[in-house]
Amino acid sequence: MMQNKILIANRGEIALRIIRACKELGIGCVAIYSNSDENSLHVKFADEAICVGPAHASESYLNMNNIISAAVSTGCNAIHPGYGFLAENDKFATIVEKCNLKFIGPTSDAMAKLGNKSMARRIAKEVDIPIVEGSDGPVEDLAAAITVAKHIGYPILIKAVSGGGGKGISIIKNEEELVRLFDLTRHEAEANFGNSQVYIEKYIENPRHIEVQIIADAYGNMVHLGERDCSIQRRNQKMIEEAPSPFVNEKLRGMLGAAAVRLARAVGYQNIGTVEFLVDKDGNYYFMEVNARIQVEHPVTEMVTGVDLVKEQIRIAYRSELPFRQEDVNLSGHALECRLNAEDPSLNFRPAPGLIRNVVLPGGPGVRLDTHIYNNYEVPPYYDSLLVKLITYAPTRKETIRKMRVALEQLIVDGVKTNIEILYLIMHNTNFVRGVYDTGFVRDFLETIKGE
Amino acid sequence: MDFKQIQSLIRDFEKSSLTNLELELEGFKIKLSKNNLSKVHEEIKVEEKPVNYEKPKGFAVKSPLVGTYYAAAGPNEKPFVEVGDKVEIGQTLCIIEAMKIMNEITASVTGVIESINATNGSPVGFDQVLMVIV
Amino acid sequence: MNNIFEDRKAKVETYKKDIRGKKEKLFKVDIPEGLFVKCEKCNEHIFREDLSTNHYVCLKCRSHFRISARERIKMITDIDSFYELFSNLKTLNPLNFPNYEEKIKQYQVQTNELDAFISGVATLGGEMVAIGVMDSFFMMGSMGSVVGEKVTRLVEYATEKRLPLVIFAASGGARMQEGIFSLMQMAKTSAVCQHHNEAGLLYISVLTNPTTGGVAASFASLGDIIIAEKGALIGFAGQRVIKQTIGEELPENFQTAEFQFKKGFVDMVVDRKDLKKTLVKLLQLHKKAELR
Repeated sequence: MMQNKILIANRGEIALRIIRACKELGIGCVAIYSNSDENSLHVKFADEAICVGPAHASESYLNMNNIISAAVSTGCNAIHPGYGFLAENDKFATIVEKCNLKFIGPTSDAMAKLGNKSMARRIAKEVDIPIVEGSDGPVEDLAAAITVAKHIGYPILIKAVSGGGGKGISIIKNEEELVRLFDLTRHEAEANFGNSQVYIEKYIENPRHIEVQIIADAYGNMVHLGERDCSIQRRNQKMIEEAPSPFVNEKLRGMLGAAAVRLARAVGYQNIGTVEFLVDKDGNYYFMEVNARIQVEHPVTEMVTGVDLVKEQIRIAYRSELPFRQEDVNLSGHALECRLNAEDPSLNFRPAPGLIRNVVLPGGPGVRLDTHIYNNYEVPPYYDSLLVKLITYAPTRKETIRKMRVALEQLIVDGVKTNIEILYLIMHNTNFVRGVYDTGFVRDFLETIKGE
Repeated sequence: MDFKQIQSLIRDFEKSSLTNLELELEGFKIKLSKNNLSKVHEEIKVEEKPVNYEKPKGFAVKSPLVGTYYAAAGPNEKPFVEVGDKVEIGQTLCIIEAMKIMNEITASVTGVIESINATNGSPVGFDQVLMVIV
Repeated sequence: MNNIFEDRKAKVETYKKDIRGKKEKLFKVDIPEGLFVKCEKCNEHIFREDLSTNHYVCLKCRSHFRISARERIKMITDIDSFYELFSNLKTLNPLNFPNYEEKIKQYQVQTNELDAFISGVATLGGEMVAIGVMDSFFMMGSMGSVVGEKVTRLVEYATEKRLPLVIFAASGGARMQEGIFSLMQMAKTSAVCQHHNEAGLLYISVLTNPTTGGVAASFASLGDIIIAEKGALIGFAGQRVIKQTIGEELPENFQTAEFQFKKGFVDMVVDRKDLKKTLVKLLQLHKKAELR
């Protein structure tokens, strides 16, 4: 009889997170690593580990053939893609399915539909979810772009159809800028995502980035687990997230949640996903995109709902029913997450890999750490710079913030430069503490402290 | 210097580990140099190793693929090589099966099998040492 | 430093084995056969679906895989435009060659074709052509009576209907099991190509991998325009025979399409992805031309 065994197609803290979930469920787990990740913690703690290529991600963590071969030859019957890398690659999911392995995530079909931004917007519109006004699909050329822009009114955004991570996006304030930057943006899209198609969207200034966690089993039970506020971003990279959002009231929460579930149902969604919205100053919400994977900031939702999202992912993939319905979901307390990265704020947050000489970790009630670093760990230069996810949880937002301040004071990572001071300062910032902030916050905040 | 002496000088130079030789005698000057590209390669390789790396004696046959290691062509057949066997360049050492495709791994050096470090039927990863040839 | 992890792992393993008596057995998922193929040139493993959407050309090194005659027709002709002709010709055993009938049967079952040549009419980019494709998967594309007869009938049809002719060659040469009958096909096909030529009609010959022996030495080399697919092996005698006969080393890339192009034996070397549009262009250019 075939025993359940999962190959974790990722690295760093998320690989460790998945290993923990596997072990708690009594499921065997196999880690993959590149030549430069031999000493990584996820390699040390998995049941087995197998090298899949040299340091560069394209030859290892993005190497579909090697990863699938690793899964088959180590006797796995499922692959968990984590986040990033191949997590939202519908072609990878298709091949995994064809190899009779379970892909721990949504179906390749749902991924393909939602991965194409303009198709996702069309689907959202069909189920009455407000979308930011824009072109219905990619714009053919500059002339078409000008027509659309005239219709919806400036300012507008030109966005790459296959984009993500903040690349392939240009803010355009008037027609002259559109003429100047249209082709440039198409080139950026081609270079970063291999697809030069772009679409146009109304630009909402300084919105809040609010996303809803959805979870669905293979039997049609779709549930939302509340929202997260991820507006604290530097250049479209999230720094601090919290659940629930200090901006969202019960009514808005209900509408966002219902919209997210409607969208999930429209594509027959399974497993875990996040529906992203932009919310303007007046509380109007607009659908942005769907992230068809587990996300970095999932812990804050776990803290306020009590649901172990990664364990549920695995259970759902192995055909278990969701053990709860929407009415059983209870949001209680407040959670905050700070992302500690190996970067140098004084050098424009340039990544700062290197040897971590010493680590001292905080603790106490309501303090959670998701991290893969340890004393004498060498942070490789080839991947993202995330070192530690520091999460605090308390009955009120005020207490959570206080707890985070203390935890940051007691978190020491010696040997590489980090953004810990910026995080600490934000925790004391008046506007942040009042819960009054939007996606322009970090930009303005950094300007302020530069001046000091 | 007569032609025979020059020939013997060239032969000696070739056998030696010198890469450059300049000789000047009365009325005669000769300059010899070797293009030792492979040596440069090896030097780069050593620099990439971590600090406490022990340089192994011999040539490590590393897996270029991720898959399952098979010592023989079939379940009831003799293994391709055993410890102590002499092998030549191009000789099949083992098979690595990846996604139902069989891949023969051949020797890129001539020598003797010092050790076989992979187990028949076990998974092997990229760059995993399969054998050592001395 | 590494020891702390190894030590801990060893202790946990020991506990699990001793106290809980856990046994480890390796069960492997059964992946379907043929999901991946290996490129013979660069050893890259390719997902079969990717290969077919990429014209059966290796995504890494652009080595052109051999394809069946039906696959070629599907790739080159306009959708649903192909009408097969002379499909009922079947091989007999004129010399009573031992085991020949069994071998034919085996290949018929394997390839689902009656022999190594498919003939018919189709449109390419809207242009009507008489088209023939050899199948190297059927007994190495060897030419026997059936192949020779089908080629002949196709060329006669093209001459009668005043159609341009496109033939894809892929062959290891004449079929030895039919002896002199096979060799005779060389003369027969060459003659009928001459009639087509005298009628002032266009014949484009496409040489694919491999095109050798009696086929190379007859109709395949008689095109008004000879196109070779990138990397194809094109020649008459085999390399070993030539080397032994002349007692000399052969130049690098001997008998490749590129080599033949340099020596003037083929008119152009085309990558498979550009083949259809190249043929269409040539057909359009020669539409009203009288090639006398």
